[in-house]
Amino acid sequence: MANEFLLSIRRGFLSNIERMSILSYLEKNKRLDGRGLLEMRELKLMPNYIEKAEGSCFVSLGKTKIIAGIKVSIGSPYPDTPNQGAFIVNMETMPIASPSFELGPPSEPGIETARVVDRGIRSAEFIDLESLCIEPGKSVYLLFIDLYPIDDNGNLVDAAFYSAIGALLTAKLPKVEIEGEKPVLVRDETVPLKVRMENLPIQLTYGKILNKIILDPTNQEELLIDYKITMAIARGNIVGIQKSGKGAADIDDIIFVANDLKSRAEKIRQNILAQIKK
Amino acid sequence: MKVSREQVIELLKEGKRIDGRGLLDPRPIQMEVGVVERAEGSAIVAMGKTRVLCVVRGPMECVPSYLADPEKAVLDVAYRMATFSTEERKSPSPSRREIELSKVIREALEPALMLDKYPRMMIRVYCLVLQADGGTRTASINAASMALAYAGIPMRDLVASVAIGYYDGKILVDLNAAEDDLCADIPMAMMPTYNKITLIQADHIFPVDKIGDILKVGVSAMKKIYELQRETLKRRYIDIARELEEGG
Repeated sequence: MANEFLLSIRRGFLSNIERMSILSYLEKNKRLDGRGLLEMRELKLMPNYIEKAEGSCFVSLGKTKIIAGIKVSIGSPYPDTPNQGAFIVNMETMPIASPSFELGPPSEPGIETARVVDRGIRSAEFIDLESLCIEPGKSVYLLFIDLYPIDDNGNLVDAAFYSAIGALLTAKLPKVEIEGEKPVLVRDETVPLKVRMENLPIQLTYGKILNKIILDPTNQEELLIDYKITMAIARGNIVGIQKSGKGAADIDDIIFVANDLKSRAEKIRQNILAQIKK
Repeated sequence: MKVSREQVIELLKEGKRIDGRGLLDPRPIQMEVGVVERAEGSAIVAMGKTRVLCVVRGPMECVPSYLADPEKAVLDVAYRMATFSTEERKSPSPSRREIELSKVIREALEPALMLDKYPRMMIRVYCLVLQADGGTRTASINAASMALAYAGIPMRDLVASVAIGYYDGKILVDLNAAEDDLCADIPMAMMPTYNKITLIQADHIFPVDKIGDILKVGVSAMKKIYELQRETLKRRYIDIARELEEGG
């Protein structure tokens, strides 16, 4: 019994009264936190949050909070792209953000979230990877985009996505000096990281409960959700889709999500750019 | 035969593919169930050069026991690539990709399984990619759903899966590795009887307006694969019946 109790805490659980409230509100097309079904929580970006990082951004999406930090190093390019730098997105799921996270080797939710964020940014060709080449075939910049969730109150994958975007938009690349034969980073001289603004990707996550589609689910809603669809868009193109959760999706719902995301993308983009400029 | 990116593009412009297929044709599919004696369920699926072996164990005691769910069986899925399945040797330790794919394969199968029939138990699914030439997750799902059915696990439906590609206005069915590098890759899985999608992912870019067409092409391809899965299972049961008659 003790084990079952501990496990339910770790998985997260809803009391009956919470469950009933969420469901009865949804029947009236309302949500517990006062939002409409397709209303997103407030997205706030605080770039340059960590001085030591080459780029960073603290993001809150409602009560969900996450920090992204970018560290830069020099490495060899991949053999098939000798004149391109590289980036990798990684998420550390420490028990700070949620009782369902554990210390230890990379976790399944951490890996999935990081890879979804990575695919959206990569498919959109948001980062100008050619600008990260130092010497073709020999040395390039490597960007490590590391995500640390601080408070998981639902929809971590979108918060993570915008923290990575915020960090990339404000990242500064250290200059390189050749010392002997080897290039080394000079961290006190920097140039802005080159990104393709027109390709800025926008990602949203939708959940399905009780035959209704809701945008930006909270952690309570996530416990009741049948399945989620995370979709990213850039310049009118879809640049990523991920269905997650144990339910099965209707074809029309996937098409609905694509169109709804398309109709919201420009406003979110303007919101991000306004917050970055400040 | 090694083909260049340029060759693939050149052919696609003419509506052709490097292995001579039409845009909407899947690769030749071979399926067999009951290929591993020491397992409750097993299947091998080849889609072109991609070949995946899948084994199902259970329902069995849940290990570790603290994972047991009092309401339903726990489904554990491991997707792994053999070290020799790729051009360069793959390291045997599980990559981030393998961990993510294990999760999405699990969630593609779970809607079809009546896990509530086995509270506190565990059902394990192991997918081993023997040879990788694109579409390894979709071949894994096709194999796993047949292996689960062959193991006698109660299911609502079989799950059929295929990857759809998009390149320059053209929609392609069942990408091989060379096409996968070039095209937008949209792997999907469904329960054909219920018309429900249990997996959808996307990589690279395609226009938002094409999503409806891409799903339509995918659904019709998956329904054909579903028929093959059913035939394969039936054929096996006919063989078993015949063996029993002859033996007894």
